[in-house]
Amino acid sequence: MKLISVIQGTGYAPGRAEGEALVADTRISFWGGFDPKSGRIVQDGPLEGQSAAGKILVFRSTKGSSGTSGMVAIAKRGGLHPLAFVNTEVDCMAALACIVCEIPMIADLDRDPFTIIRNGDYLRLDGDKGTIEVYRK
Amino acid sequence: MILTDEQQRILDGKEGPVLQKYMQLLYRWGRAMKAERLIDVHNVHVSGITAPGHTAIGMSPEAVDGVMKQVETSLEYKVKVPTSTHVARITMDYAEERKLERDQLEFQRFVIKRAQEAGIALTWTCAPYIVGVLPGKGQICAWTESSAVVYINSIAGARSTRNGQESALAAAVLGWVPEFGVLKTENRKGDLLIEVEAELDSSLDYGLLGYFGGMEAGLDIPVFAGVKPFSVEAAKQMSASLASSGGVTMFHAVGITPEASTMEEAFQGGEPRKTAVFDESAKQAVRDHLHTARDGMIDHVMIGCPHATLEEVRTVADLLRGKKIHDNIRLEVWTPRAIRRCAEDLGYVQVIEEAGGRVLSDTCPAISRISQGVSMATHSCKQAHYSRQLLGNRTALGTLEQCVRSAIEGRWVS
Repeated sequence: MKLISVIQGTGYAPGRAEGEALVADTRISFWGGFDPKSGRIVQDGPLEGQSAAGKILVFRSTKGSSGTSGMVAIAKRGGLHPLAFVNTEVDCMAALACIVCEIPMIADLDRDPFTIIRNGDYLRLDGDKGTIEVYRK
Repeated sequence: MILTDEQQRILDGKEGPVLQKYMQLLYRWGRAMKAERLIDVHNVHVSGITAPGHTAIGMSPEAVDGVMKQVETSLEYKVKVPTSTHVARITMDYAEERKLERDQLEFQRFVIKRAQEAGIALTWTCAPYIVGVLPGKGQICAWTESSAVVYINSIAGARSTRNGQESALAAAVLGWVPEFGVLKTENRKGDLLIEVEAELDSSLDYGLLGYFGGMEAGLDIPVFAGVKPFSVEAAKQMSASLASSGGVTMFHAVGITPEASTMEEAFQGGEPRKTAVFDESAKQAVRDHLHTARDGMIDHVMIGCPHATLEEVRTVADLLRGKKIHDNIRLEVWTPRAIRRCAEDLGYVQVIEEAGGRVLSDTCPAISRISQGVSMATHSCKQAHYSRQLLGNRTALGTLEQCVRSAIEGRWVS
């Protein structure tokens, strides 16, 4: 694996995470659009049917329901939660979900992640420093 | 973020580990959202004060225990400000019909007892503003339920960011919220303009407008121009739609809502970043998107998303008086318990039940996961939006009158 890019942003929730990226420039409603008992995205759109469990989710923002934090927390009880959020817009519900579930969230990025990060890239995140290392095979 | 001595003491754990945990959450969330301080909160509406219901299905016994323990813990402290509850995950109405409810009734009774001791008003509704839980203009709130947050910000002029159950509970117990987002005047200015050219006749039309607005706005604040004064039912549908297709926290309607007497006030003197037009074709496009039961086959009619007002229950009763709901159709009206009581006194519940319908409280099909895999008729864009995703339902979307007439006919009437 080769380091292809380092993106700098701001940490909205602290901690470190690493794993495979799941990427789409879309807004996700975690209540209704995400099944916490399978870890899958179920809402219409580019990620429909994909598992977010154990992945680092790179997406525009959360939307919709105030159930976001509750749903991610239920997924975490079964070990089926995403490992981190990388967002290009900041929704306070995303920050709350990541803080409650103790997973990092990074936003306010210095470059467009959707042109750099591809599905399956390996990411290393530091939510305290706000850095995202992007690795590719 | 700067804390007062009292807040710092709680954060340092000097008032015990539970309050420290609540304070850590508000502190971390506030810091992330660039809040500079914690301010007094006046009113809280909190989710998650309920037996787990369908959430328990498919979870390990340990995980279910964990969820129930969390509910128990959340009721250990008396709340500091008026606090009401969002919908439960089960209904106690007609409970004997469903095994899930039977199994969890005991825990729900325990929740009721503990909530009473904690000073929490168990409204169990997504629309507390229709049962008298309605903050005044400028009051600081920590509400869950995105549609209700949009309603109180936009229609009442109260101030609440969208909250999760954890932040709302922390606010109720501690009496503070981090000051960010729409809690600050400068963040309540409109971002985009939506010119309304389409006719808005029913609450459904306002729901369609809201759905369009949410798609255009995303997380931003839309300003609607060209809208005439509208009912609480219309405002309810509009608020719910805005928070379903988008992540909207509030809107303005020029000449109508309290912070938008003029276009200039709505944008606080600034310019809209974009303008969109809601005309008849845009209205039809939203309707077509959400109306998936195109063959007209339905087996379930759902009224009350968000929870039905007394006027909506009355309308359903009037349409059903002396009629019978078709054998193949299940008709449910979901309304807060307070309104159900009132509707009983007025005879509406009896009329609906005599026609073969049901009037239920405390939860809704999307939360309780009752009515999965059906073909559902509704007048709510929000219910149509989520019931497809959550329950795999096909949906027929029409006016309230159309939904009730369809229940009598046994098929979708256009």
